[in-house]
Amino acid sequence: MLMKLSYLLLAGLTNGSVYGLIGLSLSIIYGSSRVINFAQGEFVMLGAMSAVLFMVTLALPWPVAMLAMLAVVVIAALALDYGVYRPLIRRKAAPLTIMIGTLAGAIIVYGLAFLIWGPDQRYVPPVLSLEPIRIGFLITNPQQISLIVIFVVFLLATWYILYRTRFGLSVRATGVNPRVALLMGIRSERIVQFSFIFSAFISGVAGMMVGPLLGGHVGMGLLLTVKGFMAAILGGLGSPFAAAAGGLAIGMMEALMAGFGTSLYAEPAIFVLILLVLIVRPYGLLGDYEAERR
Amino acid sequence: MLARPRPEAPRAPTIVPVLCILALGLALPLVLTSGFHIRLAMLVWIYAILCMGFNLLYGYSGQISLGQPAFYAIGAYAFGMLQVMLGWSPVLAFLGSLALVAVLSLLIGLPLLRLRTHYLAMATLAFMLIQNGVANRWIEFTGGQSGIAVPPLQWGGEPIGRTGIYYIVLALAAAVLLLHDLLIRSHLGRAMQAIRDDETAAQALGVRVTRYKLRVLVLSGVMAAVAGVCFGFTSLRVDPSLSEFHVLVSMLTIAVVGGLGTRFGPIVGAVIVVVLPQLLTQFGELETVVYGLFILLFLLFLPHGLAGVLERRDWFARRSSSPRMASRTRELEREPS
Amino acid sequence: MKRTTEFLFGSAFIATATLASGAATAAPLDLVICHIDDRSGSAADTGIESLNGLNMVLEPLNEAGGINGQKIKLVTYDTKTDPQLAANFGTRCAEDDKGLLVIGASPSAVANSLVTVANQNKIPLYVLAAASPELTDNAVYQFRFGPKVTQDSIAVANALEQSGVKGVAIINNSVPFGITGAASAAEALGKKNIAIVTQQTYDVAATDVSPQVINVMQTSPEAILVYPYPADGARVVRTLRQMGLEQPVIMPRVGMMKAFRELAAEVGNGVLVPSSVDITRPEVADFFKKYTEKYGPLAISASPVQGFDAGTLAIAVLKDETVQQAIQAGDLQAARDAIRDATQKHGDFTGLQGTAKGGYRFSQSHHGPTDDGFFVFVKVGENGAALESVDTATALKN
Repeated sequence: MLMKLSYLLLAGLTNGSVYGLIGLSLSIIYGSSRVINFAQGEFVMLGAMSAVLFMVTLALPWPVAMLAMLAVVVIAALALDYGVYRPLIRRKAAPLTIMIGTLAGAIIVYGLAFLIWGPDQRYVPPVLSLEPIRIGFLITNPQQISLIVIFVVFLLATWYILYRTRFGLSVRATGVNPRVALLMGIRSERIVQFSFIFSAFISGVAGMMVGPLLGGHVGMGLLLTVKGFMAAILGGLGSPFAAAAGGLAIGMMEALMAGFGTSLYAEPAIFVLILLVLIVRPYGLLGDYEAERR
Repeated sequence: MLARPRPEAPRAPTIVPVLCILALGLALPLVLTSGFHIRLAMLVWIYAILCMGFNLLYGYSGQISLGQPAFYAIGAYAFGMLQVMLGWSPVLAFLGSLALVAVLSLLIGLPLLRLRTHYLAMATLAFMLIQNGVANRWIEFTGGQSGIAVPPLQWGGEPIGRTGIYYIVLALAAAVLLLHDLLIRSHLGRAMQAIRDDETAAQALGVRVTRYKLRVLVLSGVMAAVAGVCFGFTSLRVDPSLSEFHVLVSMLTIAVVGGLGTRFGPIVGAVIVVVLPQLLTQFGELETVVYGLFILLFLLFLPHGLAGVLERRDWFARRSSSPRMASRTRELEREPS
Repeated sequence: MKRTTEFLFGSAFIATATLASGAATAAPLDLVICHIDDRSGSAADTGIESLNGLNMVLEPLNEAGGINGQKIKLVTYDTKTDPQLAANFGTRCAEDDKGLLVIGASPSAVANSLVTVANQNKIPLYVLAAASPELTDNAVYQFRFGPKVTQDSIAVANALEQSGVKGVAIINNSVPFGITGAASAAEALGKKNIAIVTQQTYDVAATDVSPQVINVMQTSPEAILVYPYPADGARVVRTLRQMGLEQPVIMPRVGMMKAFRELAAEVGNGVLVPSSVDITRPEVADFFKKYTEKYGPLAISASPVQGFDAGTLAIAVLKDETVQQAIQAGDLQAARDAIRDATQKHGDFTGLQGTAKGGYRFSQSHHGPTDDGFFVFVKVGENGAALESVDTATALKN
C-alpha cells in the first residue's frame, strides 16, 4: 500500500512537472503581456522535433543539438513577438483578440512543422538513459527524473530573475501596469520580448526532455497547450509559481485518480474539479494578488 | 422600418440588408444546380447560426465562451437521441434539445459568469473538453467514437430531399438572424455593449449586469443548439468530432474574418470559412500554413473583419450622425500609438 | 456583402458548368476515382501511404493505356481529420467531379461521415483503415478493406483461447482509438469467457504511466493487452518491464509501427501484434520492396497495402462488362450501381492483406474482411529492428 502510494506520488510529480513547466512558461508571457499564448505547446513540439532534426537527421552531439534547438525556439518566439504580438498591440487589440492571433501563429507553426517533419510520430533520442534505476524501493529512469530536476531548476531561475534582479523588478512592474512602468522609463516591449524568449526557452528544453517519453509528433503541441492552460487557471494565471503549482496539482490528481478511482474518466473528472475550484476561487487557487490588481 | 432620413432616431439601422440576405438565401437553390453547392450553402447557414450566438456573447457583450462547440454538440446529440431512444417526433426532439441546452447553459452560466476574460475562456474550454471526453468514453450511451445515426426528416412518409432540407435550415437561420438583428438594435443590444465596454459603468447606469450576461449566455447556447440540430438532420450523423478543436477554430475564424460585434460578420465569415477550404485545395501541402496566415492577416489589417468594412461604408453614406457609428469610426481611425 | 456571396458561389457555379459540359450526355463517362483521406491531420500517415499504394496500381495501368483506351483520372482531396470537410469533399466528388467511386476514409470519424454521404449520393465507397465497428452494418454502397477493431479483438481472443489464457489486463490511452479498442476487446474476450482482471486508461500526455501499471501488477494477469499510440506504447511496455512484469504483451496495430519499435528498443522485444499483413508471403515482401524503391523506406504497415488492394479491385470492377456498358452509355447512376454490384461479384479474394485462410468477402452482407484467418501474429525482435512471424499458441505460453 505504501509502495503503491509512493509510486503514485512519484508519477504525479513527474507528470506534474511537465504540466507545471508549460503552465510556468504560459504565465511568464501572461505576466508581462496579459496574453494567453495558444502557441505555447508548439514551442514544446519544436523542442522535441528539433531534437529529432539535429540529433538523428544531422547526428550532432546533444550539447550542440541543444544549442541549435534553442536557436529554433527563440526564432519562433521572436516571430510570434514581431509577427503577432507587436502589430496587434499597436493596433490596440483586446487581449482575447491577441489570443486568437497566437492561435493563428500556432496553426502556422504546425503547418510549417508538418512540411518539414511529416505526419509520423517520430523517435526522439533520449539525452539521458532510459535504463531503470532504483531510488529506495522505487524504480524509475533518469530521463523521467530529469523532468523533475528541470522543473525545479527553472522554478528557481524564474524566482531569481523576478525577485532578485533589477530586471525582474521591471518585468513585474510591467505586468502590474504597463503604462506606469513606461512612465518610469521601463521599455515594456523589451520586457515582453524577454518574456517570450524566456518562456520559449523553458518550453523548448521541456520538449527536448519529454520527447523521448512522449514521442515527437507535429500535432503534440495542442494537447500540451491545453494541459498548460488548465494548470495555469487552476493555480492562477498571474503568478508563475501559482501556475506551476497548478500543474503539479493536476499531475497529482491524475495519478491518484488513476490509482484509487476510475482511470477511464480521470480526464473529464479533473476538468470538472478545475471548474469547481474556479467557482469557489475565480482567480485560481493561489490567484489572490491578481484579483486585487484587476 | 424602411430607411427614412430621420436624424432624431439615428440608432436603428435599416432591416433591408437582412431581408436582402434572406432573399438571396431563398434564391440560392435556383442558382445552384449541384447538390454539393447546396450542401455548402447549408453549412454556411449552420455555421452562421452557431456564430451569431457567439457574436452576441463575445462580439456584443464581451463575454467569451470557448464552450460553444459543446452546446452545438449537445444540441445535435439530444436531437438524435430523443428521436432514436425515446421515439419523439423531430419537432418535439428539436424543442426538447433546445430546452435541454437552455437549462444546461443556465446551470453552467450561473457560477461561471463570475469569471472574467481569460479565466472565463479557459473554464468554458474545460467544459467543452468534459463534454467531448464523456461523448468519447460513455460508449453505451453516446455510441462513442462512431456516434449515433440521426433519422432523416420525413414529410408524409417520404424523406425530404436536399432542397427541402435546405429551406428548413434557411428558415431556422432566418429566425436566428432576425432575432440577432432585433436584439442588436434593441435596448438589450445597447445594454450588452455597455457591459462589454465597461461593466462597472454599466452597473452604475442601472444595467443589471449579471442578469443580462446570463440571458445572453443562454441565448447563445440555444443558438448553438439550433445549429447543432441543423447539422444533425443535414449530415444524419452525430459524433464527438462536433466538439473538437477544429469546430472551435472554425468558429473563432468566422468571428475574426467576418468581424466581431458586427451585424453580418457571422454570415460573411461563415461563407469564407466554408468555401475557403474548397478553394485552398490547390495549395496542397501548404494549405494549413495559408489558412493560419489568412487569419493573422485579417486580424492585423481588418480588425473589424469584412463585415466591418462593408457596414462602415454603408453607415458613412447614410447616418454619419449615429453615435454608435461615430464611436466605431473613432476606434477604426485611431492612430497606432 | 451580397456581392461577395454571389462572387464565391458564382465562380464555383461556373466551374461546375465547365466540368459538366465536358461530359455531355451521350459520350462515355470519364473514369474518375476520388481519393478522399487525411493527408495532413493527425492520421496523415494512413492517407499518404494509402494514396501511394493506390498509385502503384493506377500509374502502371494508365501508362499501359488504361481501360479500353480510357485512362483513370484520380482526384485527390485532403480531409485533415475533419469529418465535416470530408463530407464536403465526398459530395463534391459525387456531384461536381462526377466520380464513379470514392476510395479513402482512413480515420474512423472521416469514414463515418463519408459512409453517410456515399449512401445519400448513391456512390460506392471503399473504406480503408478505419477501425470503427459499425461502418459496414447493413452496408449498401460502402465496402471496408481495413478490419474493424472488433476483428482485431476477435483474432486476439481466439489466440488467447487457444493458449488457455484465462485472465487478461487491458491498458489503453484516452484517445478514441484506445477507448474503442479496449471496449471492443472487452466484448470479444467476454464471449470467450476470458476474464478482464483490470482495465486501465492513461492520458497520452502523461510521461509516467506507473499508476496504471501498479494497478495491473496487483491483479497478476496472464497476458497484457495494450491499445496505445506509438510513443506511449513504448512508455507502457518500458514501465511494465521495469517493474518486473514479464507477461506476454499484445499490442494491436501499433506494435508494428516503426516509431514504437524505435522508442521501445530492447523492451519491445517479444511484443505480439495481430497483423492483417503477413510479411512471410513473398508477394507482400515484394510489394514493400517496390514501395521502398518508389517512395522511400517504410515499416510494415497496412495502409499502403489497403490502398493497393482497393486499387486492384477497382480496376477489376471497372473492367467488368456491365460496368463498361453503363460507362459507354454515359449513365452515371447506372455505372455507380453497376460498380457496387460488380464489387460484390468480384470482391471475394485474397489481396496483399489477409492470409491463404482468409481475405475479403464483399459478397457477404458485412462487406469486409473475414473474421477468421485474416490475421497472423508477428513478434517484435532484435531490439525493434525485426518483425518475426510467430505461432501464437507457443508465443503466449512463454
